[in-house]
Amino acid sequence: MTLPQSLPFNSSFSTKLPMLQIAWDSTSLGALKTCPRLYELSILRGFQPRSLSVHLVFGLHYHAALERFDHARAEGASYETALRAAVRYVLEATWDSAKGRPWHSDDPNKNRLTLVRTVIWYLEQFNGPEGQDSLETILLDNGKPAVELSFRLQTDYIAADGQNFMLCGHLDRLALYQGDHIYIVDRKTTKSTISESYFAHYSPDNQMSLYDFAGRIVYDQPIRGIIVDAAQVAVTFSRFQRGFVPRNDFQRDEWYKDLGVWLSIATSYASLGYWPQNDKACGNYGGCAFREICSLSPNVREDWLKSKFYHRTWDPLQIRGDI
Amino acid sequence: MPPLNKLITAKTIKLLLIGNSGTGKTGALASLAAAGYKLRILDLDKGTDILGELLTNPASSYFKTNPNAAANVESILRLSDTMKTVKGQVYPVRSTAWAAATDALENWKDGELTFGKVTTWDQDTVLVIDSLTMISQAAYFYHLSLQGALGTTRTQNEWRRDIGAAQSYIKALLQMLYDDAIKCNVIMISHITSISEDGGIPVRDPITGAMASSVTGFPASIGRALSPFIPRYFNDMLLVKTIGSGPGLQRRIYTIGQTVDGQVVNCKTAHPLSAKKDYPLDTGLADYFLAIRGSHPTSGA
Repeated sequence: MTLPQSLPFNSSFSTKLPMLQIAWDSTSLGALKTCPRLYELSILRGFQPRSLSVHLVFGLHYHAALERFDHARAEGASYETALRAAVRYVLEATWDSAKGRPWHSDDPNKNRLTLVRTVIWYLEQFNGPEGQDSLETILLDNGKPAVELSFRLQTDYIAADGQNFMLCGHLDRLALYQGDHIYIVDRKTTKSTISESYFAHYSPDNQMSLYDFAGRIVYDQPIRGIIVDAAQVAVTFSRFQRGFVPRNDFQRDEWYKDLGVWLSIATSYASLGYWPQNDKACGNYGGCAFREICSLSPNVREDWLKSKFYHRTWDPLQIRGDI
Repeated sequence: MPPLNKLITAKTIKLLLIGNSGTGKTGALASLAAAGYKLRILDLDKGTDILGELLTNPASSYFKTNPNAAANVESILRLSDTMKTVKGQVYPVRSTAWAAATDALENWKDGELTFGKVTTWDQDTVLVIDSLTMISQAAYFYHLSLQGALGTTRTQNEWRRDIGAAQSYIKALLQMLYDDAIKCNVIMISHITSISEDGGIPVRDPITGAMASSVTGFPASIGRALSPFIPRYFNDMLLVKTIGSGPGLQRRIYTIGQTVDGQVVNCKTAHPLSAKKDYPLDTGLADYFLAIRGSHPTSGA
């Protein structure tokens, strides 16, 4: 596969070595770890499937609806009013005005109905008309709730262009639990039953380890840990379970040491201008989105990429806008 | 690892002290205080008043041996969750005990006193958790609180998941206490839970009253799945048992397995040649520590 002569500007990449990413989030680091070719196509060149995965759409709306709720509550709205704001968001966001119809999902578990139900049931369980969530969303100095928070930090690792590599990303929520203990709360949706083994999947886990590492450094008060706030979305019910994702100092040191090795590997690929396939990862998680492309002869892949995928710039340094 | 003949014998004792309620497990700690060990106690059982009586009453043998023994009980953190009664049922309202207990292990503070992280404590110090049963319940309430389910009715499946989660908290705690980074002595006090051969609740024959199958007593935590694995995290598991009744009642600490209420309770010691088979409760823990360590602390005695 040949690389294009120039790539669109991306502030997360080196200006001197344009193939070398300087600011890494969990998505880009995860892609590199999974398969260098996946990293090249999805992050470096920014290809994305034309139709978004139903899981991604569902997850985005679910997060955004609960974010609406948190904002409304922070502004002093009652539970009922905040709940209405969240549901209104879901109904509007899943309505396709151009086509005059709702978002269509073929997935019996993840569709418009189950999305509305999941948002309402979640808020009823944890906030309820009378109750108060044991996880109390932190209010920032500007009075806004600490949801969808962007972070960035400099690592000790130096890139070939002389800059320090950075870690960055967005946290779903910072919350207090049991008094003054601050936790990063990461919301997840799944079709699977949520049990101990579900939470065990997050140890080790690239995203959680990066959040845990960053959370200890970037905020005024150290983060005590990560809580995965999981929603099981089934056809006829939604169920919720929260679990801790523990990391100790030894594990943090190991993850950071490994990060240095991965950054060296990324530098090598950037120097070569070549990101090899990891053909042992093509079948992971239901199959890679680029599997069809990689299965073609290299001389025809470009045309297929352009027809099957669209381009977007994956720039983790872009701060997500306030709602 | 060096060859066995060059291996330095560990002087740290991590011990599980099990026995039925009222056998004198908490009171047994008095001998350690009298021998000069510094005790720091997480008291979730609210049973440490006995130590005050044993160590400060002039008639007590401990006081006569070491009038300053009470000062060796450096800190007792009494932790409990807030409960309320509704129509005769007791429900937890707020969960604070588990978080306070784990906080204490990270940085022990008791009023003006600060003892820091448990990994910084020396070998003359004893961390006591009284009891495993109650700290397991605290972990359970902590988990329920996180789920927004404190004081609510749980379905069978939810209950099973909750118990599993609480067990994983306890397992993590035991792993931490077992870690070599903790150099102080550890005594985990526990009650006994009976488990049948198939891992379930023992059933008695309704006519004879005998157990339907063989039953083993294990340290009580929460649920039954974790209990058989708890002894793995300790090199020493001693049993406190009463024998007889009335004026002839004796309380003893055993290092080898015994029968308690028709069930076998196994014990273990990492030093079977140094330790006796049993000790009197009054001096038992101090005697056991002496047998293994060779000497008591020089200060505080």
